[in-house]
Amino acid sequence: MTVRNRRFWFLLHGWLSLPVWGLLLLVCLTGTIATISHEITWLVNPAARALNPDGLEEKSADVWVDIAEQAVPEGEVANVMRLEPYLVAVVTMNRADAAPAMVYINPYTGAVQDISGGQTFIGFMRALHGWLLFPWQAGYSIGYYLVSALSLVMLGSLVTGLIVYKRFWRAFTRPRLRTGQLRIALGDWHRLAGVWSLWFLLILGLTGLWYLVQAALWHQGVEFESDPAPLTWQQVPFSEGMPPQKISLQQAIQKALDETPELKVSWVSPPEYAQDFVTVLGQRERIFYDNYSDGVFINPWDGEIAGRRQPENMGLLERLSHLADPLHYGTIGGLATKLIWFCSGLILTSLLISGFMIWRQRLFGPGKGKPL
Amino acid sequence: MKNRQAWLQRQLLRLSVIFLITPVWFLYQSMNPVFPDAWPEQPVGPFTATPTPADDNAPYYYAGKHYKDFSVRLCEGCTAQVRRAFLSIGAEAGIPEGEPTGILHGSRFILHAHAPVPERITQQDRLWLTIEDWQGKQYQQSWELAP
Repeated sequence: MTVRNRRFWFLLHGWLSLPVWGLLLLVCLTGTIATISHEITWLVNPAARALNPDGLEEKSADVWVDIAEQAVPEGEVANVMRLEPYLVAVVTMNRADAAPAMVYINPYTGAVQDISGGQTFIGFMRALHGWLLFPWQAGYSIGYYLVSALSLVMLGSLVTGLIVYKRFWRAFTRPRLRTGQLRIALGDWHRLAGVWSLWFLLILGLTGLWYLVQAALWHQGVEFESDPAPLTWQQVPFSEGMPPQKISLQQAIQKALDETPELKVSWVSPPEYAQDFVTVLGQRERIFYDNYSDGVFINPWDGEIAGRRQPENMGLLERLSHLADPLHYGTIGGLATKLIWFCSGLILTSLLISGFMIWRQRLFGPGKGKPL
Repeated sequence: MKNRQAWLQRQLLRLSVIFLITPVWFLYQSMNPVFPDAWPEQPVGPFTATPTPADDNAPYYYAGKHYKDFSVRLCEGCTAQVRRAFLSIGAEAGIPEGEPTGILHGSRFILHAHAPVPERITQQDRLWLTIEDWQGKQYQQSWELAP
């Protein structure tokens, strides 16, 4: 490659990320923190810990619902959520004239450890990282577009960086980090860290690109789920006297667990109108799929299974939508991969900072005009 | 050339840092939400209903149609007495065949609906609520659209 060509790619490398540098840094930092937000919650909030000193067996999700209904008798279950084996199960209860109450239940002892409302740290970090807290309109958020579009910047920086860096593979065979002079140390670190986190940049860039595609699909109202269509009105009973009886949420969960005993439940929601199902979602030992990739939909009127969600039945787009999160969040291998993702996130942040400092020194270093 | 480029890069960089105020602004907004006023409570057959628009914005466009979001509060204990209910804006009421657009959904405390709206709203258009009870009897009520 000629020198001129290399110079073009070098300029492009800078132009890609510099104009959005502040945004990139925020997204990088918040994403890094978000990878361990569950663990931070565990450390900071004792009420969120699912301690099990007596080695009790985990109670099933229908029991969590019983416990929550006793704890907030005036409420009605909005949903049931389970994020990690070491965190409490959270049952959110709708209330008449108050914000929904989140009941923190130790799934082993059955103890109610907290009843709180409002935003959680986990949810906040996710919203800040994923869509910069921009509001959601019908099916889209400008913030979600902005953040996922950064994947293009990320992939672009990766490609141009490799083009600029002569024989970059030597960073693997002969890593070099000269620490004598700041300018040289920064350059060495930027190249070394960049090449060593190639795999990470690729994973985040590609999953981020998928989020961009997904954002456009949502926005256009394209449906790619294989979930069953709502009941027809013929399937919803009439009644002469009292309203017809629905099965309870507990019965529905039991039905789901009878059908798929190995399902690790991470989400339950009751029907929101007469055609709707009880939704019980979870995960069945498929490490690459997320915690909502498996489950059953139960007809609340006859208590029968109306449909299933299973990776085998999914089309390409739906499959991608369930594969992206574990790769992006680093949850595929549990705590170990989360920590690797967290450290890689820090390295990525250092790439941004060192890149910025190199740019600043080149343009505004000694004798090159006023500093920023 | 190099100076101009450096200048431009610096301005863009500053802009991108200033842009970071937006999440703070949205955080402030979400902590201090402003809800529009409720519309008057009206009887709908044996029930009563109070609709409240979700915001003061014009109807939005989604997947080929226009909608306006409302929450609807029914009389206490009434949600259990309802088989289905629909909200729509137009010249007359009606339960749509096929796709359940405008269906009321939610909890027994409060319901929500994405009410379909015609592309051009005219003087005759009103907000219609249709409720069907478990016997299959239907009741209707309408509200004047806010000026």
